[in-house]
Amino acid sequence: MLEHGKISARQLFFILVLIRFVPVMLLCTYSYTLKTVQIAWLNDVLGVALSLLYLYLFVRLCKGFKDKTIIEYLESNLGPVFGKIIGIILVIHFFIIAASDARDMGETFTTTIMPETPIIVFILIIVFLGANAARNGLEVIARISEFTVPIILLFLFITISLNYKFIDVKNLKPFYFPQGFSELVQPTGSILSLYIGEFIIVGMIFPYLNKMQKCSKSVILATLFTGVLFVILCIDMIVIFGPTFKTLSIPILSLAKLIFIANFIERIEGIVILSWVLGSAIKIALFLWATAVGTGQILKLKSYQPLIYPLGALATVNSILNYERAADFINFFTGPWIVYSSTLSISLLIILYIAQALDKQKVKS
Amino acid sequence: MVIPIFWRKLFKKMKNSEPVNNNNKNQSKSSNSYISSYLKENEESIREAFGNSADLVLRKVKIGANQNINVLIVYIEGLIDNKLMSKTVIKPITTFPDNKLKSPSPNEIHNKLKESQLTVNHLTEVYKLEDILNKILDGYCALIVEGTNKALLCDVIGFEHRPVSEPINESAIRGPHEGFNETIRVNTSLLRRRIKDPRLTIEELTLGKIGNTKIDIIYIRGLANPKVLQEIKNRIKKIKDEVDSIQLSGQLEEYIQDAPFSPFPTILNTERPDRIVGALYEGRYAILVDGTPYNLIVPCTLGMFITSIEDYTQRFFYGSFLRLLRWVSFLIALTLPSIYVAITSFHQEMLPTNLVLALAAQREGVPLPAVAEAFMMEIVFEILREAGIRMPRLVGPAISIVGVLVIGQAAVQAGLVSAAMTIIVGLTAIASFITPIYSIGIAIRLLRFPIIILAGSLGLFGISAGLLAILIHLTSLRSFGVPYFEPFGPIILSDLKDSLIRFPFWAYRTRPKFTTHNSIRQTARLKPKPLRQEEKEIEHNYGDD
Repeated sequence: MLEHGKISARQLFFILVLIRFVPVMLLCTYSYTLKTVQIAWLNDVLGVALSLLYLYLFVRLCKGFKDKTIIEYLESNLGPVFGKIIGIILVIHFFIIAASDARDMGETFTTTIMPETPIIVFILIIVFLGANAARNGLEVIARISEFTVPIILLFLFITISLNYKFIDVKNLKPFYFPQGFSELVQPTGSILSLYIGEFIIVGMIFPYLNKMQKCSKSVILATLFTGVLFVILCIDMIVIFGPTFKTLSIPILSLAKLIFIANFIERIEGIVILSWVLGSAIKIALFLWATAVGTGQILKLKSYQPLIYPLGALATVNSILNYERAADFINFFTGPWIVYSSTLSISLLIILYIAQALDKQKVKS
Repeated sequence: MVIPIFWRKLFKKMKNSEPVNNNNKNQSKSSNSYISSYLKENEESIREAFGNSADLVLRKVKIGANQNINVLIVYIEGLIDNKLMSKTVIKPITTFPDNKLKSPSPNEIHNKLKESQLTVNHLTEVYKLEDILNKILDGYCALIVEGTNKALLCDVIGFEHRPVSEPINESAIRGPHEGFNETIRVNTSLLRRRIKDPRLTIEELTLGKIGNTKIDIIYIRGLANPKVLQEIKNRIKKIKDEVDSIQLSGQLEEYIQDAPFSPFPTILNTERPDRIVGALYEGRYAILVDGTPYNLIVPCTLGMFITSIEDYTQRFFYGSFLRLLRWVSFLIALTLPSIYVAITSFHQEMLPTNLVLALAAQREGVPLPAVAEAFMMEIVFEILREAGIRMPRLVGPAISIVGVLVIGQAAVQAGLVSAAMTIIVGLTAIASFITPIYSIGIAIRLLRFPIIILAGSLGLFGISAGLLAILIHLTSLRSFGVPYFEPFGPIILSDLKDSLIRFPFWAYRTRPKFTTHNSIRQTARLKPKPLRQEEKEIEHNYGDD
């Protein structure tokens, strides 16, 4: 085993919650996919429900891994060539998520509070910190997310609850059913693809859980918890901003900026910035870790730690080169990413079914 | 033939260096040998071993029927209690009742002395010269009767030491006012008096090839995790015969700590016996070092450095309040100057308009950028603090006048620094002294400087990145196998009861999770509930009066 640490089911829950917080807090691509703002929450509900179905099936398949990660399992059941090809695709998938998350964070900083600083500074520092955490292993990543999630939750609670003055329920109207199926596809797909595309990482974490039977419980709980929270957040945004919600690039920041109570509690963006840095660095750390461990397992290395810093450097370069400007980033995540991520996750599910069938046959014979 | 000569030289060097390494534990020719039956020989070898030191006392007394048998008394002046010595050793020897034994043999005299004559509390018989040398250094006195091959060691230890007094750096309002002193036996007795149970175990080791420092590892059997003991012993064994001596607990700490390059201390040092007793009840280990009032606790967590005995002596509301206050000041001491720097130089929009204007007016004449100003003032404060500790007491007022008036007020009036900056630095300084254990304050003070630089170059992003780096470091630290950031790092719900706030004592069902396997501390139903019936009886009694 490349990784020696063990984490608990509760820590997995916190990790997954944190992964889902990050894209919501940063430059939000979801709001760009909306055609009508008033039913944004409906897309949320649909996306979460579909992800729950997918993740239920996925985690059930994970239980066949025993002490292997998804990459080792596929390789041992589908043969070295085919297994390695899928392993490489998965590793690249994790790597892309790490890189684009770094870019997301950088863009957020350059578009909002520090427009004059070059983006590479933010990306470099955050990837370095993430790589540092990843080098210390899964245990450390889990502990930091355990410590961070309550802070971010507190901040979310403050932003949602202290804006009561601006709530205007009329903004929910006119409530109308979507004009046809097509209007729902893109926003729902955006939610779904983020959930299932990123939660595949459970396949990498699974063998390092100290109680594997609790895995499905914490995955489902994390999905439900974040889902409910985002529906609440979404409704909060709609009733506060109304139709302008669609044009906000970072809705959470706008929400936090509104807070103004008794000439005293105001401008709490400091906490927003803290949670941006904490959240995205840990997410980068986790996906860099998965990339390194996956690469190590494909290449049959003895340790994954030496890979972390080179991979971090590659991720930095990748995040700069992949997108020319922020609009490219948004375009990618509102279109191609949805198709790519859903295709990958769903075909992975089918491949896992085949692998399991082969595994069972092997056990019988 | 250059290379062979080189090798030969190297070999010679190695050969020469070997005796130095092996020259531990006064292994001269005489010390390994047995006690001779000729007093002259013994006397000479003891004198030789000590290099004829001035404080070594060798006295010969004649006893026996015809006053013909010599007894050699060896001790070191200053390490023994003179009154006790003359009463329990010298007097019984000089009044040796020789009339009953007509012509006693040396062995008979020796046995008589050992069995009934000497009135000391603690007496041992040894056969080796080395034992005599080691023991008289502890304050024993050795007796050798001429013609025997053995010696008697009498415990007459008594040297000057500081009395048990109030701890100087860790004071408490309602806690006990006893602190450790420099003598290890006194310190162990302070612990024994508090834990009256035979399971309290004290294991003693001697460290160093010259100094022979005594080190006691103390724990409660059945509570402490034996694996940790093994780990402590392994780490100490590694340095046992390598170091010259261990004079300070800080020195031992550096040799055995987990993270040698971390700014955070992973071993707790304290001069309060009650703190060590509390740690022992949690299944931790105490390491006492002879010659220092600061003793060590392993394994420890970050939260223990923020804990004071005061949290437990007052009722739990106040204890919790103090805890929260300390954590907040921990954060203030770490980040306040950098937040000021970040906001004034990058994020002015975050402040209310009036405050921004006031700050800008103050900073108008200041020649330095905020980051340089903060850095300078922090360093000035560190100099003042260090001077305050080192200076002779008589010049104290001078320093405070210079510190307050010249550097504080005059610098602001001259426009060198802004008034807000002095407020910030002062608040930070006070906050950094609120930590009950001094060594964690040092960590905060050192980490403040890099965060100020980060804030000056990257604003709030820099501060967040710095805090994240500290967080990553804290969560990856371990102290003797226990996660250092527990119960926040891995969240342990039962241990959270004694972390940010303190629950009342009856709520602690379990001991800390990682330090002990014997996890149940007490039953759950200990919350006090006055019985209605009893209450009424008391009321009734009052009514009778």
